Amino acid sequence: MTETRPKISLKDVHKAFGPKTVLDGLDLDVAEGRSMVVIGGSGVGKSVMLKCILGLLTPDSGSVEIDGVSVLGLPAGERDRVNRKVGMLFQSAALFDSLPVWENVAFRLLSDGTGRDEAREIAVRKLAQVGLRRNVGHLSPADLSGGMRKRVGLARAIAGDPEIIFFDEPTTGLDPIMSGVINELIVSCVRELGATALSITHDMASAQKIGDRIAMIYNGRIIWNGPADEVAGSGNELVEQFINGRTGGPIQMALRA
Amino acid sequence: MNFLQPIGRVFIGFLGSIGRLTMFTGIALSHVVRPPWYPRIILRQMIEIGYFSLPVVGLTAVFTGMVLALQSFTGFARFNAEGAVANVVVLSITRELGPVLAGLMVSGRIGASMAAEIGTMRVTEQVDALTTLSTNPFKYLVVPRFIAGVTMLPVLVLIADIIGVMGGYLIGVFELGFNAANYLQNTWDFLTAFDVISGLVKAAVFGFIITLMGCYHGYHSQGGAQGVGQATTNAVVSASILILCFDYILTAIFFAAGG
Repeated sequence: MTETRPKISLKDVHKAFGPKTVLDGLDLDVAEGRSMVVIGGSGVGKSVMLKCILGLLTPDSGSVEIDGVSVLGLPAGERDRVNRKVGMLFQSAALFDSLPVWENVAFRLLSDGTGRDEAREIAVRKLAQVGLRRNVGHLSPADLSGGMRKRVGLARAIAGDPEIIFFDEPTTGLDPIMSGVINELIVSCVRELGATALSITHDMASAQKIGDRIAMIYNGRIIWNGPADEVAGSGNELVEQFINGRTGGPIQMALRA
Repeated sequence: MNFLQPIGRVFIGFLGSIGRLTMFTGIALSHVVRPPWYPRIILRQMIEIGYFSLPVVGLTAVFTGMVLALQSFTGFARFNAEGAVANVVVLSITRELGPVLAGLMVSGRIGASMAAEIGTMRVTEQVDALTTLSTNPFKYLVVPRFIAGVTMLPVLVLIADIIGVMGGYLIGVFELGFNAANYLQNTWDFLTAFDVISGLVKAAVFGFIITLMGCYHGYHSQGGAQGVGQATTNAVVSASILILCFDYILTAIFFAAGG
């Protein structure tokens, strides 16, 4: 097996908010062209980890590298260059309410100076890729259902043909059938682009569908990391309790703050 | 000594807020002079602030001019100086009431909507989405509003000046029986360029204050709908108070300069 440089690499990442430690020495590597899914309960630091990679939060210590380049403390211009490799599907889709759907999808293209007609055509193609018709492009995000918003968010994430795509709870709030549709779209889009994907979710069906590998985060660290098809037989008590949704076990949910 | 703790906490919190606001202002201003700019968004904000605020500012100005004419006539009639009504109306409107009332009305309309819009974008991750799309939120959200506020408030105030003076004219001529030509002559004779310019300078400063407070409170809102509501309230209240404070400071400066 050849050793290749990971596309995304986190080493000993710490992040605390006041007295609350969220990430406590987190290590994670994502190989190029692979799809990694990080699972874990609510409030264990999945979103914080993602925000640290995206530069939306700064870790207290540790390193975050993309393509072997440390992205912590990068000047704004260089950070922008890194972000141009990245697409992101937010949990709530985070579509811009003030813009019609097609401008949301083509936002990056328009910012980069692509003409409006050309950008609109690319947006229509990307919308078609996620199963939405041309006329949806002229709607306002407020007119869309939850599933359609996710699809538009996905179309926006892939519009710039990114090398890396992040998915934040892609199926949260969707019915099982729509969740399945979104999962299949994610798999097909990532495969077509040949992109590296990093998803966070607590939906096990989604994790097994979209991930080549699964890692579990607990108490601010990765406590298990392995192929997606081995998660059920991981032999790790914490992982088994989580994927089976058992209330009894080593993971104790805090019922009071 | 426990009673000192809450005082110290409030004081430190206040200093922290001043620091955050100063940093926010500095960062935003640094982006004003650096490309890229977003002309379409600047134009949209100019229309929102300038064009759509016209009715509320115009109505405020016309009624203010009318009331001013009636009240000053009542006062001046007591020492037979009714002829000064036109002068008082035009000076009060251009130097003081035009910019202050337009500022307060726009603060309620625009400051609140900016804080609510940016606040909602913040709590729904749209601001984060901008960053991931290689777009600086300051350049995209704050700078266009700054530019639109600073340029459109003086335009609004200029229009408010004209409408306010016309309100005084209507009452003066049709209610108080002034000769129309004399009223306009008195208005024009006593008006200097400095009166108008000082009002427009105030308007530009108020435009900056309104957009700064709207953007700052919206950008730092947190905690969902309640946080956005709080940001909106804070934006309007802080902008209104700052407008009145800076109105005095600017008036004092103009006064010292001999205006």
